This record gives sequence, structure tokens and C-alpha cells, in this order.
Amino acid sequence: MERKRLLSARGITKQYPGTLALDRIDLDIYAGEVLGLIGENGAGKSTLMKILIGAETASGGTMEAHGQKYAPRNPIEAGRMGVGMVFQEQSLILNLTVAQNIFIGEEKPFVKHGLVDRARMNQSARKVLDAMEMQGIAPGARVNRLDFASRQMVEIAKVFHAVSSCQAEGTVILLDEPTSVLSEAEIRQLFRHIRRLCEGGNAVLFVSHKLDEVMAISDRICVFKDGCKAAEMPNDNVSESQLYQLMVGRTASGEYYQVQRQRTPDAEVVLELKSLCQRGFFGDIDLALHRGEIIGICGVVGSGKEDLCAVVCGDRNPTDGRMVVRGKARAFRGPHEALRSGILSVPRERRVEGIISEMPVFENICLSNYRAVRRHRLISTRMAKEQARRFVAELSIKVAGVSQLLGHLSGGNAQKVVFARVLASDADILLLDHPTRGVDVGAKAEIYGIIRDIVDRGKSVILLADTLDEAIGLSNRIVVMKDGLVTRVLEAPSGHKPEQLDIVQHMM
Amino acid sequence: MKRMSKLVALVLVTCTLLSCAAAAAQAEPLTVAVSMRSTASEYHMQYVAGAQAFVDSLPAGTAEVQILACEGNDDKQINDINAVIAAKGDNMILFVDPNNAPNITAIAEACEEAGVYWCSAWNTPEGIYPTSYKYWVSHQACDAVKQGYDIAVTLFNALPTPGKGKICVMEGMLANSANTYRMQGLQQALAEYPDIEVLDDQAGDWATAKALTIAENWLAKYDQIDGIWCACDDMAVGVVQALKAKGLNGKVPVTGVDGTSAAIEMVGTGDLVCTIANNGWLQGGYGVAYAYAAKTGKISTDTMDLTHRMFYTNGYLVTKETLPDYVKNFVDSTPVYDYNNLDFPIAKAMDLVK
Amino acid sequence: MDQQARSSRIGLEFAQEMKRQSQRERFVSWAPLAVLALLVLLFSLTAEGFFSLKNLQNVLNQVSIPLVMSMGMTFVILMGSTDLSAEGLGGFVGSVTALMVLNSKTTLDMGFLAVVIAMVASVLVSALSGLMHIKGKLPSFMVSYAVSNIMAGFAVLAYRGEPALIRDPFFTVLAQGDFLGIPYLTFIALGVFGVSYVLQTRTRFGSYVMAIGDNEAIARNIGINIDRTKLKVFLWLGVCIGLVGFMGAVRIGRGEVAIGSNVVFPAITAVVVGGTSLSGGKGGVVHSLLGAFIVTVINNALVLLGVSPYVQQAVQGIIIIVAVALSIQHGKSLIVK
Repeated sequence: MERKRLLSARGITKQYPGTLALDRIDLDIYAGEVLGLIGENGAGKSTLMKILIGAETASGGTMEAHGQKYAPRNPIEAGRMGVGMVFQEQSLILNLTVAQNIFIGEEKPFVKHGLVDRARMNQSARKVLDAMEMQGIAPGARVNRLDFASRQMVEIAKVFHAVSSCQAEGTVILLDEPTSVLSEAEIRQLFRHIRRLCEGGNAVLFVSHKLDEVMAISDRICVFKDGCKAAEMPNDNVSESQLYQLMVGRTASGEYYQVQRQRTPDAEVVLELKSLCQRGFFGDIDLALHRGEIIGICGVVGSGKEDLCAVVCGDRNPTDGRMVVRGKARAFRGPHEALRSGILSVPRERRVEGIISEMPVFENICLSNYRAVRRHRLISTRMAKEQARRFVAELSIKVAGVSQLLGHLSGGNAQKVVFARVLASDADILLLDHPTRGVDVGAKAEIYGIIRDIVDRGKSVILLADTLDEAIGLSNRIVVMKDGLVTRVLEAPSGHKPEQLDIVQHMM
Repeated sequence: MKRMSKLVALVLVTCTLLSCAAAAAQAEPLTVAVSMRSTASEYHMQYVAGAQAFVDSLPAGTAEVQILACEGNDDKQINDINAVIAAKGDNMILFVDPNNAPNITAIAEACEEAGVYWCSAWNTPEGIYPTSYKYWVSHQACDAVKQGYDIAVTLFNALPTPGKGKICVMEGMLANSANTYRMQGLQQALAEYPDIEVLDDQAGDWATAKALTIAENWLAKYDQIDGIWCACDDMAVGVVQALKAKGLNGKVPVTGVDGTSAAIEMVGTGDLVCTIANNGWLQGGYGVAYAYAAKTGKISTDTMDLTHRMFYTNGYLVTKETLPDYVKNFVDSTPVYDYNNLDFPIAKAMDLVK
Repeated sequence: MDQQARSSRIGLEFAQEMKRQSQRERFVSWAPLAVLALLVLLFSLTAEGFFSLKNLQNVLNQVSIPLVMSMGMTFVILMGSTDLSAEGLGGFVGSVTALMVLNSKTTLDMGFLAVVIAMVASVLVSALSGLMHIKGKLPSFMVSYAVSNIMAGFAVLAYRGEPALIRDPFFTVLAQGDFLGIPYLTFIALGVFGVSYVLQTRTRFGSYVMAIGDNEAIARNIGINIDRTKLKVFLWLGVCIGLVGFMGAVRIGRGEVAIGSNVVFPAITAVVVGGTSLSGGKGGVVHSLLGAFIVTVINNALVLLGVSPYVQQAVQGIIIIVAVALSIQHGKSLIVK
């Protein structure tokens, strides 16, 4: 029996500066099915979704929807062709009612004498919600009065309504991590809705980090790995371990990560976490970071690793447990206090959190520690520039001069400036959050060298790596987190590096 | 009507003159700069009219008036004056009503350096007097203590039981010297009238709307208010408006100071018991006349006596009785003075100790 | 398994945190009412004559201008902008209205038509100021400040230093008359509130303003014409400013530029004290109604209390800070999602 193909993509490629995010992806979505999409962080799932919904344009390839050429320039155009997406970040207007949200931008049918007929709008919303078995949600309720699960449901109802009213014969709904804020009961409810949707001749593309969920709901499963489609299979007789195997990405040589330079950590413990806990995010974390050690923390989005780092660097407060820095128990009221204890975080969103684009290179470098460039209690520009020149030479940062504005540097060089700032600071416990994100291959290698230099100087690193491979290559130890808990700690000495598979199993 | 059209003409004339000055500078006439708060204020525009009347008394083409309105901004006042000095050099004279007293010092320095003869009115900081300068010819003010006293006495005598009753006090802006002195006058009067009780004392910030709100609140709070001492006309308009809403206008006597046309009219209708007309024509006219006399060498700051350097001018207490006389001389006609007689404006010498 | 149990505990805790956060939000949205009730209670106990029919009428009268102004301002702030033009524009409208009705300066006697003309002018100027902000991408704060100055200048030019007294008996009655003890102006203000309420809750415009203030990117993705919605906000602001100018002139019985002074910040205060977020998307006209009453009651009670004018402003400032602190949500939310 020939199934109706709702959406198809051929040879979709997306090239970002320095990285190939998607490499010739072919994908078909048929009426009535749930297609599960899995893959590690950075495997290209989100990029593909963005292209399908028109939030990004592909560098190459073609798409078809309902047998017609499909090249949406924005989500509105995608909606007209019967493709809708529930974004990971909710897009409801909190101060409006459920009905107002469902029909926002589409109020015409309810307007009479310039006024919106709220009663009629609520009735229609009732119908939309009922059709999706969401009887528990009142159309007249304001969204900020709803719990998060209901909001997620409303979001789905809204997208489904918008899409199905444009394209009656089978729509495609993209769900990006829809379960991350839902409880188990709510997830089951969500799955029922998804099933009903599909029985009506629609299709759902379900993206999640949670393997069990994907296996529970999907008809077919598509595995992404390093921007390629690694496998596509019907969801029968698939075992979790099979999927893990497929998701595991390529392995670079140990040389790439300069494994030969990996040092044995000292016995001295610089940072110790004792049953550290933040209610609702992570719990019972016990961890000891030694001098000169790199600990890689692995886990999917929502595993609590980011939250853990936020607590360690003083951005948030733990609800329980203790942090001991060089033998002294500490509680930080903010990152500035953490820095005083020698803990410095290098954030992921470099452009937003890590650098000051409108400041020259030399000022950026001395930001975290003015003491080195101060004379008579005033900052000496000459000394700051000298210091900057030293680092520029040492880290081979490509700049026109130390007075160049940081905003004008390439990603890799900007990141090196961030590292120069870290080196210039007195901090000796560093939280590196995706230090190579958005950096091209050559610069990556140099940054790995810098990280090795840093630990050689006796500093210690907690690393949230960009890829599993990177975590394995760089770390002395690997901590795997899942659902807010540490599920595994693996030793990773040079020569006896663990396999990616070992880690993935405990991650998902 | 006539006065208004004259004001209109003035604004137009000034604009044209300004553009002419920019276009081509022929044998440059003397610039007579008048620096004050706002062109929106009737009273301040009287300065300009007075200065113009003085200029008109000179041979045609000798001088022209330039208005510098600082709109309540200290810096702007100083900057504007400096700008004119930069453009005209010493080919100018200046009359200033300083936005705030401390401005005087900066203006005095600027004029001293450029050799610009100038006069001031109203505010000057303690210890900063014309006598320390060569080019600061004279300083004049109305005796605000006397104003506050005069309107208080008029009010007290207009109460239902003359000399006895409960009054509310509407101050102007706190810490503003005019307000402080008028309040001193009130205190003096109160000392002389022991049967007057002050129910409440609020600051209306010289503003009509604020005074209106405060008066409304008073009327809600007190069952019996016999009279309202109000430190200026603009606020008196608000107070009367509040009284009108309760049908009490004309029954509760209210005072004002400044002699705005609205106040004069209200004196006529009985809504206001009195106001004191500051004579802006006299102040502005003689202000520039003194500076001109010094500039042309008719008088010299080296030889002038203290009385001529710092003096009070007389206001005009407008009550129902004096109203016809005031209207005849100041409303239906614009006062013209003999600017050669420099003794004319002096009511009394200033007491420097105060 | 132990692991399973522990991780589902964390999931449960997460859900609890979420719930607590939304409960707190719900609680906070009632705060302005509580603040108002608290102030009324406090002042009733301490201020002589505060809790009386006479003073209630008085407060209703005094709330009219702040209320109308805050109704216009609410939409601007909901959208995440700020507008200061009322200071000059309100003064301008008041001034020219006074010059066009039967008055002491000109020979015109256009009656109600004058009000219409002045209102139209106000709407046009506000639209122009809005366009400079929307199309010219200039910050609304700056543009409106500049427009305010320009209009204040025009106002002064219009009456040339000597404000016109309104002599039209219709407007005098409007200023001083009342129905059931409630002044006419208050009815106008309540009418404006009613219209604002309908605009906010019953029209597309209201929803779109909320959407833009919440997240402009979402609004754009939904397909809302953002520029047009913003322009409409400024048109409505123009209507409100026009009314404020007109009501101000009627209240004091003359048209001077000072009518506009001291209307902008009390209105912004009212909107913020009411709980509308300055960054937009949260709050609404009902909140601002409460805010307008809070601001007015504070003003009123300080006079009734006989607080010395020397400390009054300071006291007022402190009360406003406390009121704002109580009625707006503070602290960053744990979950931004």
C-alpha cells in the first residue's frame, strides 16, 4: 500500500562558517506516522527542524510538501503549506487567554463592529481543544494561570489549529523536545494526543533526547550523527543499545586532543561538592576536582549539567549540600564572590556573556583581574596593553593590534581572547562551557593546546564539551548526568579512553 | 488688547531683527539683551516691553532688544548670555532676572571679563553685590517681605470678622527666596494679629494645578476656612477654582502676588481680595536704562552711591478700591517712564545685612 | 530501582517549583489591590477627614486626570515603550482649547468644536511622534521628549505669555458640576477607562499590543503587523493626551502650558505601581486604574495628614518606592521558559 507522503526533503545541506551542520539529508514524512528523530547534541536535529519550518534556509537541497515545491521563508509560509512547529521555548503570550492565543493573528472571523466576540471565540477554541481531547483546559483562562503542561498542550493545539486550517489534507507538526517540562502522566497524555493527530491523517516529527520516549511513540526512527542521517528504521525490534551504537559519532585521533599531553592530576583536591542539590534541577552530586585535572561532564540538555555549573560558579544558589573550595566551605552570593575564591566560568554564549564587543582586546583581557595592570590604584593602559601583547603572542591570537575592538575578531580568535582573560585572572578552577562552539577546526586544535597549557599551570577545569568525543579526548575523568543525577563516573586516562557508547548509554 | 498686540509685535520684531542680524551686520546697533525665565510668563514679558520702551526712547537704530529665555534652566541662561557676549563683544548691555541666585556669580564674571554693563533683578546670593564689580551697575528687587506682609494684612482685614479667623497658607516653592521672604512678611503680620490661626501650610510650587489639588484637599478636610493666604497669582487661580466648585468663591478671601491679568480680573469680580502687581515695565526699563547710562558714561560705577547700586522698587497693591486707578495706568495704557531720571524707580535702599 | 526513584523525585520537585512560581505570579497580580486597600486603611486611621464622603468625592475628582493619562500610557508601556510627549502636548491642547472657546483673549467662540479640533491636533502630533519612533527607529523616550518641547513652544507661542481664561459657561459647569456628588470630569475619566478596557480585552489591537510587549519576535512570526499596531497605540495615546489637556484646562479654568507639567510621571508611576511591567507584556488597564488611585490617594492623604511641605515630597517618594516594591514581581524567575 502506497502511503501518502506529506513532506519530503532531498539532499538538505547546511553549511555554517567552519562547520557542516547538515550533510545531504534525505527525509520523508508520511501521513499517519510519528517519525522519531534522535541524535546527540549538535548532530543536526535542530538545524533540520529550523529549515523545515522556514526559520533558516538550507545551503543546498530541495523540499516538497503535498507534492508541491516547498521553500518556506518563515514559519507563516510554512504554516500555509501545512507545516507547523512547537518550539522548545514556548511562544504563548502569557497575559492573553487560551482562546486569544489560539486565534492570535486569525481573529477576523470573530470580529463584529471592531470588537472581538469573545464568547464565540471561546466556543471555537473549545472545539479546537475538544478535538484534541483537552477538555481540562478552559478557553477563557489566561495562559499565565495554567501549569506548564497545559501550556504545552495549548501550544500544540494552537499550532495544529493554525496549520490544519490552512491545509486540510494532512499536516506535519514538528515537536522539539516537547516533554522536557512535563511529568510522566502529562507525557502519556501528550502521547495520546499525538496518536490521535496521526490517526487523523497527519504526521508528527518528534525530536527528543529521551530515547525511551522516542521508542514509545514513534513508528519510525531516524538517527542523526554529525550532521548525517546515520540510520532510518521502522520502530520494531529495535533495541536501545542498537540506537546508542548508531548515535555515537566519529572519533578523532588522540593526537587531535593532544592526549599525550594529558597530565596526571595532583593529589590535592581544589573543589569538592558534597551532596550538592538544587531542588528540581539536580540532586546528590558528589564530586572532587583535583589540581591539574580536567573533568568532563556529559549529559543531554535538561540533564542538570548546566544548572550544576551555574551553582558552582555562584550564579545560582544550591538548596542543599556543600561546596568546599581548597578545604573551606563556601557559599557564593554571585559570580564575583566565586571569582574571589578562584572559580571562573567561561560561558558558552560568547557574544552575549563572554566578551565585550565594544571594548578593545587589551581591556577585555584585563577585565577579570585588574591587579596585574594597576599602578597607584589606577589602571595603567600601558601595562594592560603590554599584558595583552604577551598573551596575543603566547596564544597566537590574530589581531591587527591589541586596541582592535573585540567585536571585529573571528569566533576562534575571540575565544582565545576569552582564554587570555582567564589566564590573566587569578582563577584556578575554570568552568569551560562549550569552549569550542562556533570555532573552526584549526582554532579548535589551538584551543585544546591552550586548555592543556592551563592545566599544566596547575589550574583545574570542569568541561562541558561540545561533543562526546571532545569530552573523552580532553578529560581525565568523565561524569555522566541524566535527569539531574550522576549516573556514571568514568576514568579516562590517556591510553585507556572510554568508548562513546559507554557514555551515551548512561546519558539517555 | 492693545498691550497684547504690542507683545505680538514684539515677538515678531525680535524674530525679524534676529534674522536681519544674521543676514548682514550693518553699523551694528547696541544689543539690549534681556535674560529671564520664559516667554510664557506675562510678567517676564513686561521686562521686555519695558526694555523696548527704553530703546524706543533712544534715536531710531541705536539699539535693539534681544530676548534670552532660559525656560527655567540655569545652564541655558549662562550659556545664552555667553553666546551673545561671544557674538557682540562689548557692543551690548544686559538685564538679567537670574533663574537661581547662584547664576549671578557666573554672569558677573562673564560680563566683567567682556566689559559688558549689566543690571540684575530679584535674586543675588548673600555677599555677591554689584559693589564688588565695575560692570555690574545695579541690582533691584521688590521688597518681598513687604509684599507678604501687605497681602497678609489686607487678607486679615477682609476676613468675615476682621483680624480674627482661621486661614490656610499656600506657599510657593520651598527654599525659593521669593517664597522665603513673602513667608517672612506673613510671619510679621501674624505676629501683629494674634487672633489669626493658621490651619494648614502647604507648598503649591507656584503651579495652578497643584494649588488647585491642595485647595480641594483642604476643602475636604476642614469645615471652616476663613481665608487663604496664597503666595502668588498663578496659585491663587487654582485656589479660586477649587472654591468655585464648592460655591465658596468670593466668600473665602484669597490673596495673590504678581498682578497677572487673571488676578486683576479676579480682584474685580471679588474672587481675589488683593494682589500686588510687580511692575515689570519699570524694572526692565530702568534695568537697561542704568546699564545704558553706565555704558554711555552718563554715570560711573566708581562714583555711584549704594542706594543706586542696590534698591527696592515699588509694587502696586491692587484691591477692589485701587483697581480703577491700576486699570487706568497699567492695563489700558502701558506705563512710560522718564528714563533720564534714574532716581525714579527707587523705593528704598536695600538693607545689605539681610 | 533507586536511581529511577531519585530521578523521578527531581522531576517532581521541578514540577513543584514551576507550580510555586506560577502561584507566586498569581499572588503578585493581586498586590496592587492589596496595596491600595492597605493605604486606604492606613490613611483612614491616621488622616483626619480621609475616610469621609466629602473626601471620597474629592479623590474621585482628583483621580480623573491621572487616570486618563495612565490609560494612554498603559498601552505604550505594555508595548515596552515610554512616552513623555504629554508634558508639552497636553499643555498645547489645553492652551489652544482655551483660545478657541469663549475666552478672555480671542474673539473665537467655537464651543465644543474647539475641543474636537484640539483633540484631532493632539492625535496627529502623537501619530507623528509615533511614526518617528516606529519608522525612524528613534527611541520613543527621546522622540517624545523632543516633541514635548516643540509643542510646549507652540503652546507658548499660541497664547504669547498670557494664558486665556475660559469664559464659556458650558466648560465652567463641566469643571465644577457633579452628578450624584461625582464630578463630571470623573465620569469622562471612567468612560476613558471603560473604552480602554474594551480596547485591551475585546479587540485584536489589545491582544497584539500584549503580544508585542511579551515578545516582539513571536508577534512577528504570528504575522502581526507590528508597525501598524504600534501606530495605533500612539493614536490612542494622542486621544488620552488630548483629553488630559482639555480636562486640565477646564479644571483650572485657563489654558496654559503648565497644564501638561506633572502629568507624565504620576501616570507612569500609576502604571508601574499597578503592576504593569516597564519592559512590557504584563499588566493592563485594570492595574493602571488601581495605580492611578494609589497615586492620587497618597497625594491626597499627605495633605490631609498635614505633613510638613518640607518633607512631603520625600515621604511621597518613599511611599512610591514601597508601593512599587510591593506590587511588582521582583527577583528573577527560576525558569525563564
